[in-house]
Amino acid sequence: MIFNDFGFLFVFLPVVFGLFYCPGLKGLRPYILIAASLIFYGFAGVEHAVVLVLDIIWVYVIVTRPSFQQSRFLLYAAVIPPAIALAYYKYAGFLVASFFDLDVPETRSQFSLFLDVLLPAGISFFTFQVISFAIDRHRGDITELPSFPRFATFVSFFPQLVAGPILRYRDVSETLLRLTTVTLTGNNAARGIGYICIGLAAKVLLADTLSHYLAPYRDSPELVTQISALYVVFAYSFQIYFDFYGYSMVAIGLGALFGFSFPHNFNRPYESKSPQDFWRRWHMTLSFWIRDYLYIPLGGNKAYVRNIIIVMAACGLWHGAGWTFIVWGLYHAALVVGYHQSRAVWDRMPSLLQVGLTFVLVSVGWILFLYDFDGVYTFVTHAVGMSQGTGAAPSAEMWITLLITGAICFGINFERFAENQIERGIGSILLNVGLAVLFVATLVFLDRSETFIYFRF
Amino acid sequence: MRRAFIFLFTVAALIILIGYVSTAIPASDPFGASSESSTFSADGVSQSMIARMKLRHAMLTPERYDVGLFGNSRVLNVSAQDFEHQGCRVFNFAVGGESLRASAALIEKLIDIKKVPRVIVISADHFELQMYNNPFFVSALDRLRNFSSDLMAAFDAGAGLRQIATVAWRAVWTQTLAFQRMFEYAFLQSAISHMFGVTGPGDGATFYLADGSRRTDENIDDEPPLLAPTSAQIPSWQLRHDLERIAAARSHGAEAVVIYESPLHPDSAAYFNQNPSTHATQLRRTFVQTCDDLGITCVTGPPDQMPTRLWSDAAHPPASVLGPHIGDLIAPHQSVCRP
Repeated sequence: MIFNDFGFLFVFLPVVFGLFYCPGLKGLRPYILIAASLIFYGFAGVEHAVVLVLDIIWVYVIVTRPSFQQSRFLLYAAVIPPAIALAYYKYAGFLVASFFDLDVPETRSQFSLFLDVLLPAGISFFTFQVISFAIDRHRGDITELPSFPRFATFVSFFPQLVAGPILRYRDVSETLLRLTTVTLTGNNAARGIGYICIGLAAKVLLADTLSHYLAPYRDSPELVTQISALYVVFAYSFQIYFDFYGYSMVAIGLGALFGFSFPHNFNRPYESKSPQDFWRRWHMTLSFWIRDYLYIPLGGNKAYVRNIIIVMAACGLWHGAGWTFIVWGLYHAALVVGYHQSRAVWDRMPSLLQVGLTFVLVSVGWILFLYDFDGVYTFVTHAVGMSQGTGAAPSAEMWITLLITGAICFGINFERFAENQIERGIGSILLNVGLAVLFVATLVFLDRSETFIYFRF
Repeated sequence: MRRAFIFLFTVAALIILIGYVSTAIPASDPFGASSESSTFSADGVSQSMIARMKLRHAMLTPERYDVGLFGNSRVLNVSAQDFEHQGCRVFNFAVGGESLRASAALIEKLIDIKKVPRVIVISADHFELQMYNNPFFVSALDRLRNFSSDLMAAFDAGAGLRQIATVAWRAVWTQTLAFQRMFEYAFLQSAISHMFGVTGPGDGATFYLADGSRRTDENIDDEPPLLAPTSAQIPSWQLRHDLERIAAARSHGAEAVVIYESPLHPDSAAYFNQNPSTHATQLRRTFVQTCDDLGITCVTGPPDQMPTRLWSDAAHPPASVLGPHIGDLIAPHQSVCRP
């Protein structure tokens, strides 16, 4: 199931919301959320839900052993099986394809166990979540263990299950512990509405519109001309941003409706002044996860260049099982290290130039998300004029849409509206009427809306 | 909570507005053209709008029609010019994507406005297709009314709990889809255009003639693949109930009601003649028996020696093939036509 679907918005969500706040069912709230999350997730395939359930049970059983905090062995026992599941479902096929010629039918059938595997949606997200829980408990950061239903709610809670934000237990522990007494406050309801409406609008009205225009270029890179290459770079950059940003906003809004306060995943990343700054503002929960559980254990700044290369390559690989993703990670490693080396010069440039340069460099990198290596080669050769694209140039309508999207991205602070904290007066009425109009406008375009890009990660 | 209520109230108001706007149809009656060959483009016009336009046309027409064709896309392309109609005034009331249940609902609407055609010819889907969805073009209130009437019929027939649950689920499903369709951008845009009297020329891929029939560019596949067997979807009591609803037209001015089982491509027909499913055989028996009881004419099975050319798929007979078959069915009743 996905957020941008009539079934979710008009059936699933109202039913779960109604059951959650039903006065006679307060004691069952964790079970209601677990059941709802499994139904939500099970729509993608029951076998996927089995992986999730096994991860939850396994980690909980190990982590609650009395000697867990003293035993490194138990820590490994807790985190290695979920990591193996992630490796099997996400990376085994990629590794096999990297080292064997799968065009040979015998080889293909020999490795079919690794190749014909359906990737459970969001496995990268919930695996990171259970691993962080085990590590935090081992480090002593989690002093009070949750009950099993609350732990299962923490991992499986449907708003964040498939594409984050990647929660730490401390982010939600307080709400989880008082789940049966949570009440719907006016502020949380308003916040939930604000974030859901703006998130859906970002996805359906902005990201999906750009996706619609990009479709021919995405499917056939040979159509790309020099001028359309420029369009593709920036349109895809805004598409991926509003797609993922929209998802995160809806997740935060849904969390608020159930009394949770999820961490933000974005902080106006395209206004970053350097590649390093970008990673503090883009997909923040992943950046912080990698910093805390990979970068620092590797030695942190003591071996800066080496560690940046390792973590950025891992970050690329986290996004997808493919060499293009690894190259994308290394490209960002080069940007971050490059910035680090040239900091004295970079930081003296005018702010506008810093922002512009960072935005262009990041946007160019997204091409590795859009195409495979053949596609990237075709795109680049066409973009630099080494060969000619066969497609038409983007229409005026496409350029205007891109400009509007860019203006919205750089010019509007959505969070201010999404917080929806003006309690009285004309401002409150106007804002909520505006959100309602935005919501209904989104419904009109829902039938052409696509799956979120980050679902495949 | 004040903010949430403002939001919810505005959303509800906007949804009601969209519900109202989505029912808008062109102010003029495109079927009211003087010439039978006059056409209008149906681009961006939903089948529900077409159904309402046809009903409005019947209401605006001073004289009720001599012959009315009912059904779905399998008969929608048949125009009066495709068969011998001996001067009868013919109108095609068929609505694409609907089932026999929609024909029953449409006839009930025509009864309400006293415009039931003198001869009613209905295309019922071949029983191996097991198509029996609830109509979409009727209002939510009518859907509720139809649901309660279905429930009464189910109780009268002693239907089991499972069948009653299925009826309830289908009613909810239809309502959900109808709600969802309200928001389809293309249809909403078209409805808004109609409200302001603006109707674009369209790309001409699909258009309607003044006699209610449709012309569309279809891919011809003279050898369509055999239809796959289906599972049982139509309860016998529901078929009987709908046939009773249709037969009620006899007491409201219809002098003859003829229902024929829509033919399949000869290859598929030959396959199912050899391997008929139990449910189709049983339904066909109910169909014939009920029609006999109600005094209406029901024709099963395809006519012999149907041509194999010009079929768009295995379940959509070309108008040039179906037209003469319909002509044969009407022939015994042509005395009702006014000179």
